[in-house]
Amino acid sequence: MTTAILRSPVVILLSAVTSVQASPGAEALVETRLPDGWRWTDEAVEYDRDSIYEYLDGGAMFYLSYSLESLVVRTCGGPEGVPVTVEVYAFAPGGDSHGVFLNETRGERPTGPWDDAVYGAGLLKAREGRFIVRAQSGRRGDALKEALNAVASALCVKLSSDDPPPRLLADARACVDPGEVVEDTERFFHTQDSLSSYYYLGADNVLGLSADTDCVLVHLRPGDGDARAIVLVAKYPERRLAEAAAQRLAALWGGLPTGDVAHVAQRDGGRWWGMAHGSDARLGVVLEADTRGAAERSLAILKAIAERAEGDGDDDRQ
Amino acid sequence: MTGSEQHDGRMNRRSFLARSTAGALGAAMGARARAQGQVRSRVVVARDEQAVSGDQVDADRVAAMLSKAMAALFGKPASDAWKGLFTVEDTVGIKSTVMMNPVHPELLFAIHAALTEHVGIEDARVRVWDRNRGGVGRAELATMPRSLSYHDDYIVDMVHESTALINCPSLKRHWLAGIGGAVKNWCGAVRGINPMDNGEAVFKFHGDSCAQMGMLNALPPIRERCRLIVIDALTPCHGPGPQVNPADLWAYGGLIVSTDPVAADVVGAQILEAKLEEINGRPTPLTPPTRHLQVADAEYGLGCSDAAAIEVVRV
Repeated sequence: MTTAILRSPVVILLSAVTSVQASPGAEALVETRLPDGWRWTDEAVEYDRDSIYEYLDGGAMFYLSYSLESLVVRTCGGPEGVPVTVEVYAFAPGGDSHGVFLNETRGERPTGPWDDAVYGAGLLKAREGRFIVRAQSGRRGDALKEALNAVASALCVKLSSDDPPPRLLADARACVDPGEVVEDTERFFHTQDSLSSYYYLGADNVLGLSADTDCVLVHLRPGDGDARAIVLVAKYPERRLAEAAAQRLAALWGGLPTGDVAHVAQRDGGRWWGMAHGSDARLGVVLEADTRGAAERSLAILKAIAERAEGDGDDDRQ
Repeated sequence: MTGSEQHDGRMNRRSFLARSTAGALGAAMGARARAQGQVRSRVVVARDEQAVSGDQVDADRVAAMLSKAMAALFGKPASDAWKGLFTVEDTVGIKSTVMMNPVHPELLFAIHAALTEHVGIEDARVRVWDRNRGGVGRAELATMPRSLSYHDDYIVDMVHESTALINCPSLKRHWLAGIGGAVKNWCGAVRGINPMDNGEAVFKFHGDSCAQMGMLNALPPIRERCRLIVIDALTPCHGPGPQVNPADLWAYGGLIVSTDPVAADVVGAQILEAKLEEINGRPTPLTPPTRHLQVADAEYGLGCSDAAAIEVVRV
């Protein structure tokens, strides 16, 4: 369903939803039947890419760095009058909902009719297909957690959809032993702003990131020891862009042969780094590792991720 | 403001650069002070862990913390400190924060009480606002029922109607700027920072982790009128954002008080980084780094970004 492009947020009335175009998020927040004892206490308000600033201000740019189509917000109340704010974010198919969900995943991982969810301190965040549902209350406790779970479940059933992870993320997961991943450090994103929020390379966009690049960043404990590494894999629209990014990074941190696990180098401060890319448009970077061994193990993982794409039609979807 | 600017009420980057001359002089003076080993700025961190319990904030304890902080900052009894900073004729605008870890109303009430009781300012001359919502007098501090408008220079009218300002943000990480604190708080005093405002942003600071954020604090009506910074660190947020995850709030029970917005933010960043190190078990610098604090110091002369040149007083 097409999302109308709006200059200001729109209050969605039931009659409007049933008679004219409405986003799936708006439909869900109007038509979903809440658990017993709960009722909607206001009208749904929809924001698009232009008007989302009115709701999130500075935070809007995070969502705009992904393929956000719409955000719909509505409040409901329970038997004890506890207000719960419910937000439904809709993204274009292609896996961006995975990136938004992965931005912060620390907390309990409840089961329910969603693809993934995390709960903590009165906030339930769930990903269902290309949608993110956030249900939040200022209060806490087991009863409220159950209520949030019930509200989010009803919405996710209504929003039921399928949106597999982006190909790059799926390949990274296939090549990394989950036991080597530091908790809550796996990220998927596109832009320099997002990279800077996870790992600061500098003022310049050295890696040439844009809305057209896919990136996976993860903290690893490669091998048996406690040594850590932070690694990044970026997929560019064209191989020449990956090569140019590799050259800029090598110039910034010191010349380094690429694509060979035997070649890692020490940066100022003693941390190790390295780069690898195969014959496609993927570039893997060990941004920093505590030890040479951790850097070499990480570089081998990056090469494996790059090689998965070769001759395999590196399309966007898994 | 130049004649042409007065005519159309707008500012451009050139006029900002022209005005930054004063800031550069200030920065140079700061560099000399550093070279002589002088402390450039004092920041008071007041703590009372009992001020916050669960979702409850103890208003009396917050007021007591604020009083202790003012006394420590100015080296005199709190009532004298307030009287030395404001006069009974002042109209005081408090720039609060309502989005993403809002400022606790108990702190706003404590500031209001100090202004009315110690200085003698009339209730209706103490105002609070964030973005285009504001309140006048104690009864409206928490609710901010009034809709505000913006002057031709893109600054909210509340600034122009005030003779003195108090910068009162909350402490949090910010996914674009590293820290949301005093320097960033002025985003809620202007329009024209986002593309939605008139189609294109007037204040272009988002590049390089919002490095030029200080341009807002450097706007003359703000810079010249802001006399005090009170950062609400009762329940700071250490999470990455962009939205606040309540699981990332912790009961620090603190206030950060200074007349230097940059130094106050430097100390706030140290508090956030200490918490992140405690959580992660290893040093965890803020990402992105707080570039805008160094630029606010070096280019705009707004305050001290050198931690070694900041005197931190803990009470």
